[in-house]
Amino acid sequence: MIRGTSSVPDPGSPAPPLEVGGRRLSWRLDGPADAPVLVLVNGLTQYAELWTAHREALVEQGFRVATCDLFGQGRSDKPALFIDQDDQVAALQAIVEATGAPRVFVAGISFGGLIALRHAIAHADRLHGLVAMSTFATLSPQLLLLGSALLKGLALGGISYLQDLLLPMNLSDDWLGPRLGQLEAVKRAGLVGNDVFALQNLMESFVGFRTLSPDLGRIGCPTLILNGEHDFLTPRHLHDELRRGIPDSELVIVPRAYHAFTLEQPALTASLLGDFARDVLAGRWRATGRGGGRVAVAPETPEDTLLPFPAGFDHLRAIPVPA
Amino acid sequence: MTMLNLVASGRVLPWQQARLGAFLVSAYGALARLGAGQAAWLGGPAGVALQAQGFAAAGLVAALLRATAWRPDPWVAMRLPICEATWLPRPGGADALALGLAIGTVVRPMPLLPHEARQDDAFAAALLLAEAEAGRLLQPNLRLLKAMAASTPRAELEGAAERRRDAVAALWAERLAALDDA
Repeated sequence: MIRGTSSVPDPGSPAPPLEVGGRRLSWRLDGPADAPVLVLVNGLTQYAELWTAHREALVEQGFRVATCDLFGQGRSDKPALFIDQDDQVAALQAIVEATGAPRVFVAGISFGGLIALRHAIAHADRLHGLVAMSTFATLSPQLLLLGSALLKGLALGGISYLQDLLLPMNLSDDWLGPRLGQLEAVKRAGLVGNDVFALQNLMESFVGFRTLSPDLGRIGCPTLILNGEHDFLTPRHLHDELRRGIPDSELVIVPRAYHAFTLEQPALTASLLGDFARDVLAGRWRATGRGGGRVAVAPETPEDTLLPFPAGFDHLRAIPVPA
Repeated sequence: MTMLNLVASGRVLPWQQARLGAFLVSAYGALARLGAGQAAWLGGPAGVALQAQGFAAAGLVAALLRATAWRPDPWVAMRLPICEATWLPRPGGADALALGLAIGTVVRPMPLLPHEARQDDAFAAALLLAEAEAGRLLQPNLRLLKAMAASTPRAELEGAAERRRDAVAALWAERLAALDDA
């Protein structure tokens, strides 16, 4: 395998790498030793340092936060030819165990959300709660074709071209607008920290992918599902499949957000994660009407409160159509 | 992390250009030979892909030969035989593909280029061309090695890729260290 690149920004104080299946996994753990643990799982082209703002906010809220690079990402080992999604689940479980906490919260976005779902199906007993963000249990025809196009883009044009495709697809005009003049600098960290072959191996780990839908019922913990209002890559119905399949779940639509809303709105994301974990730990999750398949709308700022989706309307539509 | 140094005009120092350029010409030259050599005895789409890879790698060699500010460097002359020895073929069906994959995955010069480098400089343009071609250059090796998993254990293929990767990584690390020399 290929050792993780040293050109990723220095995370500051990472924990010693974990050895998982003969591979080295880079991770770090921040926050008080006796605090409830949240494990954050990267999307496909991400690396652990992109959680810095969330980590700091959540530690400030009194949590212990674990972040990592999955295999094929950042500082973790990058197998030359084959990475199975089961290997990533094993990596996540190794981190859960390394935190020393009997139960943790796991939150993953996009590809990391899928790994978190698979982990929750296999290790439900280790979870206080799950947060599935911008993710899916089924490769819909649109998602399959988009994934194939992105893979082709990576193979033909390299990481820079993949970034060119992903940035406008996954981020809003409000975020992109002020950065248009510095886009090459914005892209550089991802460009330097990722490798074509490793990303390709991650994307090809979907070969033979089978829907997780029949197994979602095995996720017994409270589950928060976050979906950007304008998520083009993984639209609402994919998140609704999770809501319908996971017994104690709640779908929360993040207003004005796109697929990569965790990057755009770290304060709001940290607030939603923190509120969810506190509600679960305090026994308020169901007592306050959360979970149980509810659909809600996130506030636009961390200071405001989450509201139920307006009664009588279809949350799967982009126009106000009666349910 | 090793970075290339820029002169006031925003161009990479000439001695760094020559030292890095010599290694890249050797490495992409090896990839060109590997691609063309394997294409000569492989038929079908694989042969076509490897031949195209050989020509793409030769294109990078040509770009670097043209763009680099060459100057005599005894260090390069002394180390070149070690490079060339690394590219020699070994027995085993997967080895040549593994070597090509190792060159394509380990040798990645673009991250060495500071963001402030002049984008209209020929040497910078050659490094950016190598980055742009990286995805395409990898495809034949990656796909053919993965296809071999139908008849060869994955661990054996990963092992072959890792052995070649370690050798190329050691060479690359040595070259990067030599770029830090005053």
